[in-house]
Order: sequence, then structure tokens, then C-alpha cells
Amino acid sequence: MNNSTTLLKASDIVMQFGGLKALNGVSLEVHRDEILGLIGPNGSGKTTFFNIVTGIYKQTSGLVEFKGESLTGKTCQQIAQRGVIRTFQTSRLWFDLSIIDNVLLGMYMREKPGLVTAVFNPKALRRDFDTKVEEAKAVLSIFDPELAENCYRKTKDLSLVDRRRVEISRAIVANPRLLLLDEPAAGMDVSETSDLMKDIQKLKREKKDIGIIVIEHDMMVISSIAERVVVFNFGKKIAEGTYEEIKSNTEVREAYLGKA
Amino acid sequence: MKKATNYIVIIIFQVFIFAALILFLKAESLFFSIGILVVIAAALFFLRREKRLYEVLNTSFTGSSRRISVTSFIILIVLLPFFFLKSGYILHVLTFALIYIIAALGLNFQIGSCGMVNFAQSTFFGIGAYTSALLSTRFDLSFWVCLPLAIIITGVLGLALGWPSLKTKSFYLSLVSIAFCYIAFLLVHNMRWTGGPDGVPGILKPKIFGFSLARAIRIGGIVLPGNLTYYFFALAFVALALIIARRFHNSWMGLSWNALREDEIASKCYGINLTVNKLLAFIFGSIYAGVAGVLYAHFVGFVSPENMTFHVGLLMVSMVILGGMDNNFGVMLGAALLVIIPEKFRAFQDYRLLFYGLIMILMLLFRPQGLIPFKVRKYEWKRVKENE
Repeated sequence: MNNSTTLLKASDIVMQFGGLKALNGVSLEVHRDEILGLIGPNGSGKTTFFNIVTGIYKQTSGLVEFKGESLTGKTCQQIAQRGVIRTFQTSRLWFDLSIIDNVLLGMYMREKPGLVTAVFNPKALRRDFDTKVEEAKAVLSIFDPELAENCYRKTKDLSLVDRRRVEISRAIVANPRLLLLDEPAAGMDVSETSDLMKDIQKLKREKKDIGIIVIEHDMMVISSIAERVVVFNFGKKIAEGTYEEIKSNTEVREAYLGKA
Repeated sequence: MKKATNYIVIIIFQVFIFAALILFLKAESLFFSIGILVVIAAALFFLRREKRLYEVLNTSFTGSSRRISVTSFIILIVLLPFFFLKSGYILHVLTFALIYIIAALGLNFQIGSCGMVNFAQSTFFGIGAYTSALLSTRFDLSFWVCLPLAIIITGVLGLALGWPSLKTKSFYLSLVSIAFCYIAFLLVHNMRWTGGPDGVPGILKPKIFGFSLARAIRIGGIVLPGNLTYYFFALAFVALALIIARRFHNSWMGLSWNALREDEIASKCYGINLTVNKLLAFIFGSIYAGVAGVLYAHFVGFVSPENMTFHVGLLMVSMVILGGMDNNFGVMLGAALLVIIPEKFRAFQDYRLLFYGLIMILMLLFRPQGLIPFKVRKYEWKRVKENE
């Protein structure tokens, strides 16, 4: 691997909460144009890893580099502006706002009319909103045209599945360079999950150079989508490779399925 | 055809509300005014049950008939003071309502949009009033010089409250604001150059092109008292404040205010700058209060520390919560109600706090989202219109 294809490089990350080491010396790389599956039992540190990459937690030690630039000490906002966008395990939508407002806010970092325009030239602001609303609806329709149709519903009234769809739409319109999906298929049934995975693959084809990390419990889901898989257990990386390689790894089988 | 009936329903409703308001203000006996309140409450209660009528009225300011409703509302609000030409006192109360509406609109940026319950709005009201009072009495500056200076000063001090408050959240932020409110009150109360507890008397009414708003106007045989002209003067400020507040609400800033109210972590992860947006809410909110304070000082002609007590701050918070968080019309309604109704029950002034407490409890029990709650933003105006 030469350096230029590396999007995210985490080396030797340690995250300590009091006496607990949630992450204990984890290193991993994500390349451009790649879907990386991140699996591991509950409490193995997957979400903690996401929280460190996006700046919500500060790691105890170790280095996170994005496109060769260190993310250590950067705020969530600065990291987001570099194109690292995530979804959350339990949906973190703005629940009192409508579907469309949630997706529009995903475009917050794009060029937009400022406050002066909003006060003195509301028409220009409205035009800008109109084009963005159309784009937001187009993205929502990828997942479910009904979401686009009912886009003025508040997100707190949505089902769990629809909440996830809105959350992923919101992440997509933010033009991510690295997309972190935290259990995007949780709570979905088999067909919904496979639809979602197809949409994610389609998205990867459309947006060149994007890197995606997917946290997932379901091995079948991972096998269908991830080109490379990393396995965490007790805050350590215990395996890395293609799905086939991982599947035959005894340590992984023990961690995941329990000792036979 | 359907549209025409909608218009008529809206106009009848508005006229009914205004007629009730006029009767309420004119009522001499206490029982009569309570009776009117009961009638209004009953009417609204039955309206809730008539789903179709309720829908028409509920969307009257946002839906397709908003042009008609806004026009008729403006006509009524302009006509309103002419029913009280002989009663300076009621004109006084109505103008107070307008002034407090401006302060409440500003407070809504913080409480309604951002979810930061700030009890110190009365402080900025007082600071605006004192700035104008001191500048105009000591340095003989005109209203039009005092106003921008008060805007700058309240804006800067709003920043001064906002900066430390950013470190805190929810209850702690409210505590900081209460502390700020008391500190400012005690300072003004105890310093000599602010006039101490005696306040600052002798503030003149503003002049427009050399015409003092204090003077009565005579047209034919009708005398239009000075309070009437000041009512319209304040009304112009309310209109401007409302337009700007609405545009703020519809801007990206308004949207990000709501986002940070709902979920700060998600907001940060989508690049929303919490610091800047919260500070802007403090600055603009304080400026609104400052402008209201300036209008108050020049209207009453006298400012005292009593104008910036915690009680006034509490009253302003109640206005926002009663009217409806993050809905400008709701906030205006809340402010108007909480100024006008207690004035009518002056006889029970000692029970005023009890009354506010009762209102808050009843609201939290039966309608926690406020009288006119937050409405989802609508886009695609053109397509919506075509579909209708």
C-alpha cells in the first residue's frame, strides 16, 4: 500500500475510562474507495473508535491521521469539515425537526447564504433552499420515496428503520470523504438490510474516492458488503483480512460465537 | 368558493377576538372581565372540537390564506387604540404590551430556538433603558442617537453574559443568568451615577422630524393623545422586530439554533459551530431587550432598578413559555396576555406571582408546548401554491 491511497490511519490508539481500557493499542487503516467492515462483540470498542475519530472523545494516547493530517486536538466541527461524517448507533437526529430539515442540516458545511442575505434578501435564501430541498428529496428517495413525500413529518414520529434512513441520507448529503456508519442495519429485517447494503454500495460507486467504515453485528451483512474486515475484541484488534480469512480465524470464532 | 368561506371564518374569528379584547379592556367591573375571559376560553375550547374550523384557523398565518389574515390582523391592530382615545391608561397598557413583545421576541432566540433558559432578559431591558435614560438626561442626546448606542452596549453585554454561560448547560446556565441578573440589579441599585434606587427621571419622548411624540394631535374636533402616537411608534418597532425575527428563524442560523437545541453532539458532528451560534442568540436576544428598554424609558419617562429585577426576567420567561416556544406569533400572544390581563386585575396585585405560578402549572399540565406551538418549516412555496 502506498501512502497516497490511505485515507485514515489510526496507530496505537489507547482509550482509558478510569480503570477500563476501552481501546488498547488499536491500529488500522482505511483506503480510498474501500468499504471496511468493523466487527466485534458488544463492548469491544467499535463505537469508542468512531467517537475518537470524530473528536467526541480524546484518546489517551495514539495518533489518528486523516489524509496525512493529525486529527488529535481538533474539534468535532473541524473534523467534520474535513469530510469525516458519521451516523450513530442510537439515532441522533434532531427529533423535533422535520425529515427535510434534518437532511438540509446535513448540508450545513456547504456554501450557503449567510445571515445578511437571510435578513435583507430572503428571496435568494429561498431559492437556495429550494434547490437544496430538491437534492435532499432525491437522496431520501434512494432509500424510500415515501420519506421524500412525507418529508415535513417530524423525525420523532418515524419508525426506527426510517430514522436510520434519514440519518444515512443526512450523512450522504454532507459530501463525506470518510463515512462512518455505526450499525446502520440495526433493527432492520433481512430484506431491508440487503436493500440498504445495495444502496451503500451504489453510493460508493457514485462517489469516487470515498472511504466507508461499517460497524455491524451481522456477519452475513458484512460478508456481502465489506472488502476488508477488522475484528475487535476487548479493545484490541484480533484479526484483519478478507471475510473468508476472518471466517476461518479461530480467535474470531471464539470471540464471536463463543468457545465451541 | 371554499377559499372565500375560509377567509370569512378567519376574519370573523379575528374580529371576535379583538372585540372581546376591547370589551375586556373597557370592562369596569371585575366580574364582567372575568366573564369575558371565560367566554373566550369556552369559545376556543369548542373550536378545538370543530376539526375543520380549527384547521383553517390554525394555518391562517402560514397556509394559503395568510395574505388575508395578515392584512385583517394589521387593520385590527391599527384600529384597536382608537377605541380608547379617552382612556390614556389603557393606551398605556397596550403600548406596554408592544414593548414587552419586542423583549419576548428576543428572549425566544435563546429559550425557544436554542433551548437556553435565560432569566436575565430583564437585565438587558434595564441596561437598554438606563443607557438611553442616562445619555438623554445627562448629555442631552436625542432618541435617535441613544438607540444605536443602546443597541451596541446591550449587544456587547449580551456577549459578556453569553461567553461564561457557554461553559454551562440547562439548569446551570439558568443559574448563571439569575446570578447575572442580581449582580446587574445590585450594581445599578447601589451606584451613584445611575441614580441609585431613585432611578433616572425626566426622560423626554422622542422627536420625529422635530415633532415630539408627547404632543397630542388635533384633527378637526378629535384629539389624538400623545400616547396614541407612541402606540404606533412602538408598533412600527414591533413590526420591524417581527420581520427580522422571522427571517432569522428561516435562515441557516435559525435552523442550526434548533439543531443545537435538539442534539449538541450531532450538531457538532455536522460542522455546526456551537459557540458562534449560541453567542449570536445571546447578542441578538439582548439587543431586542435593549431596544425594548429604550422604548420603555422614553415612553414612561422614568427608569428605576425595579425595571430590571429578577421578577421581570421571570415574567419574560413566562411570556415565551405561555405563548409557545420558537413560534414568533405565540411569543407575541404570550407577551400581550401577560401584560394586559394582570393590569386588569390590579386589585389583586399582591397575588400576581400566584397567578403566574398558576398559569405555568396549568400550561405544563394541559399544553406544555405553549398556546401556539412551534411549527415545522415549510419549503417549496411555489409547488405548495400550485397544488392548492
